[in-house]
Amino acid sequence: MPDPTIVLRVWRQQGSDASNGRFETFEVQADPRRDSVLDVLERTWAEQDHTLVFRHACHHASCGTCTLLVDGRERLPCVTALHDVWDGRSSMTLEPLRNVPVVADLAVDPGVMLTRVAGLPLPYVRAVEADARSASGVTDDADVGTAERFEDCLECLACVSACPVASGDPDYLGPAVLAAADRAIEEPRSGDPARILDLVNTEHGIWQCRSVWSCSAVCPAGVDPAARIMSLRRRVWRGDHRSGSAP
Amino acid sequence: MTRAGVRRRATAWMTPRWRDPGWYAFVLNRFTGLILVAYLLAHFVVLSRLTAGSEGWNDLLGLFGSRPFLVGDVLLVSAVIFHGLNGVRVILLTLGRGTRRSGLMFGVVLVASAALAALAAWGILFA
Repeated sequence: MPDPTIVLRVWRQQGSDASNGRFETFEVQADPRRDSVLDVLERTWAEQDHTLVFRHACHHASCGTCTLLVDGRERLPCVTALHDVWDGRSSMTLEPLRNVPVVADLAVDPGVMLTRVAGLPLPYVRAVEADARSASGVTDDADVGTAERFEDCLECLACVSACPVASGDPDYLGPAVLAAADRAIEEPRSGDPARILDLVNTEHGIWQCRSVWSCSAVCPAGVDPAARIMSLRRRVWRGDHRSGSAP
Repeated sequence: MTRAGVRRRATAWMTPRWRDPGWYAFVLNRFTGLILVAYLLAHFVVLSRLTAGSEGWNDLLGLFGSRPFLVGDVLLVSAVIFHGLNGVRVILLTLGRGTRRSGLMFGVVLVASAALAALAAWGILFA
């Protein structure tokens, strides 16, 4: 029995201007028992249109690079089984994330958000790791810079896409950055928790959140950014940023 | 500009998220908030009619006692009730209470709002 044909509606746009974008339809054979959404997308690129632009890397929910809107919902297409999102009959719509600049088609530029994460005064490695590196003769962290990977967070930006506040306030730090800030305060390593709280205690920071909780609903890694934002608010109420008593 | 491009731009600030209870709460909270602001402005306009003398004011009161306006009162009270109860929910979430049950809390808010609104409707329309 041949594989069924799925109709893909894929958002196409040239450059960052969405006003000239449109949906393009592709018909692709797919095996719902075995294929992921990314498999189908890659097959579309390979067999039908080499100009289709999308991002992907690890194929196992580790890098967060390929995040898309699948029928309006933020998902990691690399680990989204086709049979979980496709009923075998209707078309499936793929769009780029919202609230993140689009490079072209389905590819977004995460640079803005990642720059904000890098703007937090976070060390790249844990204190114990730094000691170990020092003991082994490695002292220069210039190769990795000062950016912090927030352990559980894939930096997939699904939370930013789902946040209605991020749509209205381009300066909003966003759920991913705020969650990273709370995690950094929880385990400060060599960072300065009071300074981090000062950075997020602004109108474009923790007080801009409207408790919609969509960020936590779509997070594929269980980071629960909304709860992290509420945690930051409680830290501010307690005056941790003034007393320097965090965490 | 393509039609799809216009639609994507227009909905960028408010993406429908039909499966997230928080999205419904957010939209309803904004909608009822707008109703309350509109009512406040209308209230000021109505009060300004007092300067026109008692006769005009009494005519207005008669109008406000008519059935359509009483139904409007019910809708207004319903908006106030939901907005207030959902505000309590948001405060609780901000305090870290029920963060794992925000959807359930929204359900409780809806049920409580409906019950109180029904009570208000009975009081306004039939009592």
